[in-house]
Amino acid sequence: MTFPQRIRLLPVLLLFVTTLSACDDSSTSAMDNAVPIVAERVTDLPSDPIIGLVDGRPVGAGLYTFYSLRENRVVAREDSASTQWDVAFRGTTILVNGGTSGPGQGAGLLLDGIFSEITEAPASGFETDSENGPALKTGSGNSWYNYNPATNVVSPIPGRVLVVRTAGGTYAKLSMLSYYRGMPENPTGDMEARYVSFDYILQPDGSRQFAR
Amino acid sequence: MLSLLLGALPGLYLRAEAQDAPPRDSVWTVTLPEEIVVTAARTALKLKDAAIPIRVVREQEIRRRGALRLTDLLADEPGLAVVHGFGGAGIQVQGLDSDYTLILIDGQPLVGRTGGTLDLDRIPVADVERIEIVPGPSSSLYGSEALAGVINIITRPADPKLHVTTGLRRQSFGTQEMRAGVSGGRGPLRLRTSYNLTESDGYDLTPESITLTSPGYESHTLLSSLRIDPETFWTARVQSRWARENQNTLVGVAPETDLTEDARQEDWSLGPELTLRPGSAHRIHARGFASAFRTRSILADTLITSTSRFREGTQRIELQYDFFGSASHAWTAGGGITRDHVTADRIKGRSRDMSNRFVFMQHQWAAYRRIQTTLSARMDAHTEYATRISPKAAVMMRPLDTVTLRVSVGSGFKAPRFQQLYMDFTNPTQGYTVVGASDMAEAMDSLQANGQISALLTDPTRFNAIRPEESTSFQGAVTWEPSLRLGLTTSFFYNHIRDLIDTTPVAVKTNGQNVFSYINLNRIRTRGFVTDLRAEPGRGMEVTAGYQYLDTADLDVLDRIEEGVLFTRENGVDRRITRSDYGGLFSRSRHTVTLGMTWTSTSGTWAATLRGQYRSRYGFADANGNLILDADQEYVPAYSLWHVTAMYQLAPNVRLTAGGRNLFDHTNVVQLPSEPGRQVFAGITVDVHP
Repeated sequence: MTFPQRIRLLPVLLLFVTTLSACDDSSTSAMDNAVPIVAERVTDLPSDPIIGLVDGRPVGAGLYTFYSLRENRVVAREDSASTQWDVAFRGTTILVNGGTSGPGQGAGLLLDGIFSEITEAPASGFETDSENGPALKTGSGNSWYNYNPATNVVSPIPGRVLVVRTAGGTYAKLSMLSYYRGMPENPTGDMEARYVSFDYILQPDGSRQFAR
Repeated sequence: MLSLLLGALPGLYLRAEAQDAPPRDSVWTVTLPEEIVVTAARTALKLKDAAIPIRVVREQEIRRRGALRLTDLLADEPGLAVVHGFGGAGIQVQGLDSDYTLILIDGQPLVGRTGGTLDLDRIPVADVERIEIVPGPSSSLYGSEALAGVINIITRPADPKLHVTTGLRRQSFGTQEMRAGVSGGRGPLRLRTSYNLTESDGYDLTPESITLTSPGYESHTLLSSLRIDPETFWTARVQSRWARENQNTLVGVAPETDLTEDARQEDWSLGPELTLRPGSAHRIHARGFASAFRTRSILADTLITSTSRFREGTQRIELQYDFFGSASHAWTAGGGITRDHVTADRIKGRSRDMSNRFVFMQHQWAAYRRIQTTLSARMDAHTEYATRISPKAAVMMRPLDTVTLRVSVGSGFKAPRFQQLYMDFTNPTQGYTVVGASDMAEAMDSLQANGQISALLTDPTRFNAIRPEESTSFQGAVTWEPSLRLGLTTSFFYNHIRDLIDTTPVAVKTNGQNVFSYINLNRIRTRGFVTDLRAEPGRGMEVTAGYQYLDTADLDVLDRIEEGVLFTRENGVDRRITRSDYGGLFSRSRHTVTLGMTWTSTSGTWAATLRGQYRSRYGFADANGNLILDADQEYVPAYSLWHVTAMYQLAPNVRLTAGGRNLFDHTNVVQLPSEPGRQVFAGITVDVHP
């Protein structure tokens, strides 16, 4: 079992900078209570990696890896029924901690846009995991990836942003980077798959704002 | 010889008409020795009077180039590109995939598409007399598939005297061709039959792997034609073809033993035709056609054997009536019925039938001596999809004796393939399901009843009304022929195709995988121009040069770029795609150049040719997840291939040929596995007139 390597991209407090024009009381108070926005990169998180062959075809153990965006750590599988985790990965499927998947307030939706330009989580459109499937849709093209049947390669769709409500009700946005171990730039079908890497930004204060 | 040449064409009346000394102004009659083409208007026509641009590859050129298979020959033609895919070597015309071009042999369709591609490597060219290439839609005469163009391969007619031809050729990679043909006649009878055996050991661009890049094969072709012409009011002929190809190859090493594949494909066709000439102004053609294509593949190791079979049969009857109302009007009308029968393991119920009724009409009018128009239209009423009407209008003008302008506007269509209509299967490793469009509602009901569906993504009832893909097309061409030794043609084309059939997810299964079906989805555009120069700068020297500029696009992708909802990722950062990032459709080169030079000795004993083909870079596959062509690593780098052939007439009946192809040994194992690298060949042909 390999533990994900965590790289702290922006270990910074993105302080609420008061602009010249907006220097009123409310913004000052917001600054006083500022909670740092978290920007992290998670690499090579096991997403049910291949453990063997059944009838000649590769299979994983069928288990999810649970992850806390709020604490930027893997959550033990025993705690899968808790609100400790926010997202869970198995193959290309991503669950949120809500609805049929967990007891939290988790919800999610997919947006098309540039990660840095999405400054606010949408006010509506969130779904929770249900009998109809995960809130973060599955399937090539519908989800965060495209699968190329000719090369057997899973590639993240550029410009597809996952917006997630965590188990605790705060908002985060994710950009999937890779499905292969070591984040190869040009993956091929024979590389070690089912290790996800992603960037995320979490607004811990409960607001939908991802920028100052 | 020329009279015989004409005799083999569908328009058999021409010979009689030429003898009858036709009225001087008639454009419908043949004044020998002008070149006759049959594909452009479905009746024989002088090449220079065809209202649509048409290219002819003649026997002499075919011999000089030393081509073995049809692919070698077509790759030299400006505006055509050979594209290798899953089903073999196909031909791209005007930037459209190979399943948009109708391939005919002596006017009858070549059968047997695999994954949409008719493998042109299957067709030996030793018996080919002429190839007529009509770019642009001809669905108004030929129906489905004739959307990007029609290529008609015309085989050599029978000699009246007994004539035996044999040939042997050896080429790199253990490739050899043996052929024998006999033709002759007695009284009104003419018979010709030829047999061709081509074998190859295959080749391996990856010696480190145990499997060959391209396995060896053994290919047999038998062509026959019988013609009866009592020189009265009727002529009859029967054309037949039988071909079989076997491949036996090691495909992998299973845990216990070697896994081998034994693949065979076979096709035959039989095309009888009766032509009546009840009067000098009337021609009636009655044609029949029956064909079958089947493939069988056996995968075996010592433990398991798995066999898959596929069989496709077509029968057609057709009547065509040509009426030459006056010197300046010619009418053609026809109709018929086609029936197709398909049997395959993946088809629900294992076999299906479909049929098509069609009528077509054409009016050719020589309005003035220098202006000619052709109007044509065809209606296809098919059992599986909506009725289709395909019109076309063409005008030819000759403002100067040396300049010809040709403009045409037309519509083409391509019927859904039977896979798109009927194939139902579930991928055993991935677990996704594909359902044919005809079976959509029913299959979804049954999947739902079995509790296999977790969510519907779209309304399955939409899928019943699948439509043929259809095009609107504009073609224009200017030909300048200042002398017999110089000719320059530039043609422009614009094709807009809508309702492209593609797979789309329709439901999510409980295993998380999708159910896919076929739907009319995309719109594409191809446009560009082809310039074609032929010159004889000196005695015995001939130069040909061709250039194609091609611009293609998926129009829905252009819309998404316009809306700013299509992205790419560069160095880990996403950005919006702009029009200049978009490389158009995959597998299309923007620039294609063909060059040919031929030297012939004064006595005609020697001939040598040098030919080159250049393709600018073209899209291979998406690599960055947005499914479109935009990043440099998604392209196959530009390349060129050079071939040389020499021919020596050793004796009046013995001809030697030798040469090399791909002289500079260009290979690209990942993106162009179909190119084996440098090859040399040598061959001998002996003609005997006992």
